[in-house]
Amino acid sequence: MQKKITKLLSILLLPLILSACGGGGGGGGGGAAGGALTVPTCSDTGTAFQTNEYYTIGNSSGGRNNQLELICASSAYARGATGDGIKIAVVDTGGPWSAAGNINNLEFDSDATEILKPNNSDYANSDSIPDDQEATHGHGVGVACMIRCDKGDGDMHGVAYDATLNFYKVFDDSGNFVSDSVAANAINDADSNDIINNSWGTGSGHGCADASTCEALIGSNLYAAMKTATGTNGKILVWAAGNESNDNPMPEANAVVHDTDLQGLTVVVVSVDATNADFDLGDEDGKIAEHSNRCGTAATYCIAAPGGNITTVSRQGGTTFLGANGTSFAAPLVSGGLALIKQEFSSLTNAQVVTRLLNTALDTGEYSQSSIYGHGLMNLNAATTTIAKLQTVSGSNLLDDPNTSYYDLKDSSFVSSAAFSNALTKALKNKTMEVYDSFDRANFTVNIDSFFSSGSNTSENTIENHISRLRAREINNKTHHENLYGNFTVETRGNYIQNSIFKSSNDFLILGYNQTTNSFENDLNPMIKFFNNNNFGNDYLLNPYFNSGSGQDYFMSINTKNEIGIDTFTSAAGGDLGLALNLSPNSVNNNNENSSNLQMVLGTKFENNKFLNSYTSGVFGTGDLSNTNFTGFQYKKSFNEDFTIFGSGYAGYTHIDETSNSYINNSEPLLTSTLTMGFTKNKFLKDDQMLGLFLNQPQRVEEGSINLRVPTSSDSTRTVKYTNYNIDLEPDGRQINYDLVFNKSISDLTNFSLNLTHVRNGDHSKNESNQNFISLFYKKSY
Amino acid sequence: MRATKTLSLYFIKNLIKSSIFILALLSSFLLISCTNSKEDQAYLLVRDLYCSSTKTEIKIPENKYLISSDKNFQKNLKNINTNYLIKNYNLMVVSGIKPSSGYSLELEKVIKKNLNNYFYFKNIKPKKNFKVLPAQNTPFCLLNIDRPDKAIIVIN
Repeated sequence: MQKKITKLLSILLLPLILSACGGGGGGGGGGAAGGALTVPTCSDTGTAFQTNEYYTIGNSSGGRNNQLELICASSAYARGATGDGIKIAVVDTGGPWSAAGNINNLEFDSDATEILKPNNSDYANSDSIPDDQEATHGHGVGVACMIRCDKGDGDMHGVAYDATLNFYKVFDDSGNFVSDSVAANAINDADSNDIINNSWGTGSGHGCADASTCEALIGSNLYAAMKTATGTNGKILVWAAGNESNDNPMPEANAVVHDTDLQGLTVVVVSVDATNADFDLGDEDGKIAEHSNRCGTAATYCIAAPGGNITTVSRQGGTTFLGANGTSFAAPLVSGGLALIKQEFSSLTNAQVVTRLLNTALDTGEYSQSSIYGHGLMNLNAATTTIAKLQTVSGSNLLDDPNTSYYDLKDSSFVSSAAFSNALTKALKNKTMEVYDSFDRANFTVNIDSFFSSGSNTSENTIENHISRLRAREINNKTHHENLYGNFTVETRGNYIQNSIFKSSNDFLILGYNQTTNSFENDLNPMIKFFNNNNFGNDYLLNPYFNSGSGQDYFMSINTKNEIGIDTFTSAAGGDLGLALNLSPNSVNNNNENSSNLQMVLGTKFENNKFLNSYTSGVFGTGDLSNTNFTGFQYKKSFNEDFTIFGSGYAGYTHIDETSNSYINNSEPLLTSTLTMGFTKNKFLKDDQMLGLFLNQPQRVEEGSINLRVPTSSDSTRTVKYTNYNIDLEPDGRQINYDLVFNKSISDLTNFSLNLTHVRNGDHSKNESNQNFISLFYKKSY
Repeated sequence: MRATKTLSLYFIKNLIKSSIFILALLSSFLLISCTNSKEDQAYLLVRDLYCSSTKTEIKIPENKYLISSDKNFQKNLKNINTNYLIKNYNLMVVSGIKPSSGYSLELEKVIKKNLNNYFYFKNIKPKKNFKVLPAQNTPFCLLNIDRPDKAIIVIN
């Protein structure tokens, strides 16, 4: 009895004991939340293209869907990619034709030359009308719409809405696939297109383990046709992964894992759910669609695209739109995406197009799981922009030639002289050239003038510079030494010699460093009274072909009357070298009576990587020895000591030294000129007043041109074509500066200056607005 | 008289024998025809039948059906194809969302039992290694039958 009671109690208590043991584990379920991956999004930047059609909110399209936004298609559209000119084969159940062969769908009627049925393209019925049938519920039409439904009719549009589609029907009107050999014929014919979309496959044998297993499942003839399309003919095969929720794709998609002939040109596509759609067919979370097979063993060749809860068009009519699910619809989005990339970058081979697509996929967060998503979610923004860095090409017309040179964009530039910058800017406006992504030499178009900047005369006419012109010259530390042999004056700033001059005791020899020995320029220069020359570029009486002041300038005069002088300079930074011979047939008369001075100049200058002070680098580089030969005169005549007239004129002839591989070649020599004239009047109205009037034409090209030979196009044979632009450097105007300056010495410590400047046709441009300046300067020292 | 009597008896015997024979014959015939006619009569109840599949969403639980008096019948019919609205279908049978082409629904047989009509449907799957189109769809059958309220649907 006791045993029975014990047994009964045990049986009754057993459930209680078991539940107590299981109760402690109930708290463990909360720990999994910390491992959730976020679903990233790409940046969709083509706002002008984000229309109602883009979101399928059309006239009758059934509602909103963001299938194009998820892959950032509008960013590609903003760059001009539409799929135009790219041929895509749709191997499927047929296209938008009636049995009589007429287009019967409004979403495909915008351009009959882009919706094509090749001869004998109905392989199921052995005719030339691959019409899609009701039994296969318009699968082919729905797939084609994802690629190329019309844009502009108000409903929805495909991802590559300007591509050309060729249809090949391989399913009969009951939905049965054609034979293996007939399917092979279809693929063989379809590979006259660049991209072949295949939204079909063998419904079993996922993740086939080796090439022979895959081939047995696919069919040997079809398998051979696949290898021919990729391995021999270089065409791209796009495969839907399949809808069996399997860890691996269907055999046709998986075969690439085991066969090098298929690799590089095969793309496998899995499906993610659209995240903002009015059809309620999926989870709307951007993650792998429940129906989709995963990338699995084919991850290296695999990418994801929206295929869950997407919108497409019905078989006939073109005004009814459906929600749909399937990798069938993800694959054509990738086919269209490949078409956009191929159109955008004509320099890429098909294999490079595939590489670019896979390498730019969004692969962070949720999409980092390669066994599911392969390379990630297709990202057409990243795919159509620079991956590494842009470079210019030179040295060869073959992108992959070892002799081809590439420069980063920042290493190529042209800063043009004000003597011709106007002409150059006008000539280069809206002209483009190609540069190349260092990742794959994908070609990008840039404006040529993005490499050019202009020197400008008018930019110097600022208020600050005008004030600076009138300000009294600064007095630096200057020491003077004198002995039997001569005298020596040196001016220092800090610990550095600013300039120096040595004059022998008999004036036979005068040597200068950064200080001219030129008697014409040093003698009672009427300009100095008015202008602080150090701070203003219009050194009217100085030699414009010399780069004085910016390097190490050496001067020498060699006779007592300073009738012959030699000026030289070197530019420490640029390696320039100049030499001028100055001849002064008239002597200087310092006795304040009527005097005149004329100086003739003859010289030459060599410039390193520049010409006429235009700096060049990289593909616009010039050689070491661009040479300018120049001649000129300076003249002044004083009447008493009150009135002085003066003038100067220079002309130069510049030969541009060209380097190999430079875009500048076959240039004509440049003839340049500059001109100055004016007068000064001391004791103007009163003894303490001076007046000066100056006219100046800055340096200007009178004749000459350069030839720019730039890359303007390239193709998938990796060959670059160059275009020559012959640019006349003579500007269309002539700048003349008019300066009126008034000085009044109020006392030894007080000075007043007034300057009126009128600049006509600034920078030698007829279209440049004239400039007018008025500046006042008053100084009182204590 | 004796001959007449004998004749009458002979005639009656033969008559009875013939009658029994005819009756047996008739009975057999009737029995056989009644046995077959139940199914024949049941098939005669299917005035129209159309089976296909659709990509559109059909809001019916898997392996279930709707009759015309059900709330969502017309809406689902319209979703499949608006042209079907004029076809007088009164029974819609659905086998659920399938991952690809190659799946279908077939009416196998109809049996009348007592006062109910049993409609036996079969789910057809793609053959092994069949080529399929990976787009989700829903196989369905549309019927016009007598007394849909008496229909019992069996889907295997």
